[in-house]
Amino acid sequence: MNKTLVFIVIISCFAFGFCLKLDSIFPEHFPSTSYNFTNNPLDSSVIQLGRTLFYDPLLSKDGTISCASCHSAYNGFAHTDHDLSHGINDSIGTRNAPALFNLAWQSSFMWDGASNHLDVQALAPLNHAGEMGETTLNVIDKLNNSEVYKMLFAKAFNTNKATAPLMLKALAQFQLTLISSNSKYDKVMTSEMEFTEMENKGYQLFKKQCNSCHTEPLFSSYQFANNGLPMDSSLMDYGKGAITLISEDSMTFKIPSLRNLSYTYPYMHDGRFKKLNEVINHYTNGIEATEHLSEELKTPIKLSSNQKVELIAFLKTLNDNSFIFNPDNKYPKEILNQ
Amino acid sequence: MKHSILIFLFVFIGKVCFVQNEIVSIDIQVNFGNQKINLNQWYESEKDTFSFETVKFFISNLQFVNEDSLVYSCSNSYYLIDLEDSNSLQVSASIPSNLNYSSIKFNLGIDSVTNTSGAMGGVLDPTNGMYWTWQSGYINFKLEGVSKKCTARKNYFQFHLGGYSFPNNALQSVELNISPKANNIVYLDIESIMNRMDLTVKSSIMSPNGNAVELSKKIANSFKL
Repeated sequence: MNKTLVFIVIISCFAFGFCLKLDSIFPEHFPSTSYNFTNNPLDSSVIQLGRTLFYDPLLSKDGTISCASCHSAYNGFAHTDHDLSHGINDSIGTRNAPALFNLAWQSSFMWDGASNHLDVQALAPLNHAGEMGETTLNVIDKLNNSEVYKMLFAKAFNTNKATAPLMLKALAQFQLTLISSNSKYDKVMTSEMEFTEMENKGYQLFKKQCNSCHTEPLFSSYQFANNGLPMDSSLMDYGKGAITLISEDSMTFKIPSLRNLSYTYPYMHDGRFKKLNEVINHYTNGIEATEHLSEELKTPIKLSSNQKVELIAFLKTLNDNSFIFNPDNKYPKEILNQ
Repeated sequence: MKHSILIFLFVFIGKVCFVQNEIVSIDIQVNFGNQKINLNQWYESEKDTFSFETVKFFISNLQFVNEDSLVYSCSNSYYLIDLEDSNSLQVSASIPSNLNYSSIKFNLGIDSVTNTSGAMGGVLDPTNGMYWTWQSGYINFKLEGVSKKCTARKNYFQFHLGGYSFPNNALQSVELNISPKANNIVYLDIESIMNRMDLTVKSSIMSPNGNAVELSKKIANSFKL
């Protein structure tokens, strides 16, 4: 009888422990997630493997580029100072590396939505000639020839053989733990802090002018929209339209979250704006009435210079320092410096 | 007495819960007209001469139909048919014994739900050469080779057909009359497909689009018993 009781207690501890872990990383003031965790339940060993893969340049053809090369923790996992992303052999891509956080709440990835699931997203940069220039099969071979990865795969999946689905699930798990939910805005929402008067005025403006696309609390609806940017003739980027071949999707791009915006410049899919006030000026004065311009932008947004200052004051409350400097998200030197 | 009741119960429950199954096998044969295709050999039609380098495709969602009503659906049934691998040219499934059916039905390709379910293993592993990387999605059908009349570089034609979403959903359903007792061989006639194409006009399809949907339809109705 006693033994049964002990057994039940141990089992409930495990079950409770797991729930606690999921609860503690998914903020209460966030909506429910889009990612299906039943097919890839979070596990600390898998997350650790994913983190190591994310930071390892072994994943690129010449061993020079890792995921983190263009998705740096200190930039909200975007790439500050580079309008277009870089790859092996100094190649330059066609888009700005997007920031990575709160990915569990998103169901399509890349600026054009070309990836339909977080698990398979990594296949794109891995195999792109101008990014990591590898083949998935070759990466798997390299992992299977590495003593470090043999150990990490054994710990994570109880197997000594790396496979593509296991590698992809591990990369997805690490990225799923990149959760930004501790900005001043979040603390105001959970009643731990209060906005200043200026921030509050900015918040009211935001709710009126921006929230329909950059929807709280994630600060994006994660839909696709044409935000009236004139076409860059050197890129001729039609965004989602080039993927779906549907004319309504022409020049539409994924709406980015505004969280951590001080860390993720430059802005827009091609990184054309370096400063936040250039972005605001685009929305007040720069919209080009292209054929499929988003409905929300057909009526011009009018902001006085004071209102612009207030809006920026509010937007800065979306910076989440505890996410940017979270040691759990950093380069795993204890593994990769071996 | 008690024991015999228990034994009876076990047998009864066993009968109800575990319906006996049998394995049904269907051979897939890829032909050029009436000739069985070997890769990298020449085949002549009235219009052109072809050599095939790759014939690779997915069959999925195998179902058994009796007089228009579905009698059995094989769950998680995905088969990657690859002419290069003779072991792949047989589709086997476990179905209830003595199942009455008049036809089989299958998808040529991978459905949209599977296409949006993340990373998978086995025949669905993205390293099997049947998954795009620059955009998500399985290649349903791969046909590559050379033809004497093909005007592309090195006379090379390549058709990578896929696409799971509107308006370019290339997935096709194939239904063939089949009898439970017959020696089941399903033929795919590549000649009839090539006869309905013009390689001087279109010699490559590499992404989900209207051409991929159109060619997928032609392929789907080139299956026969």
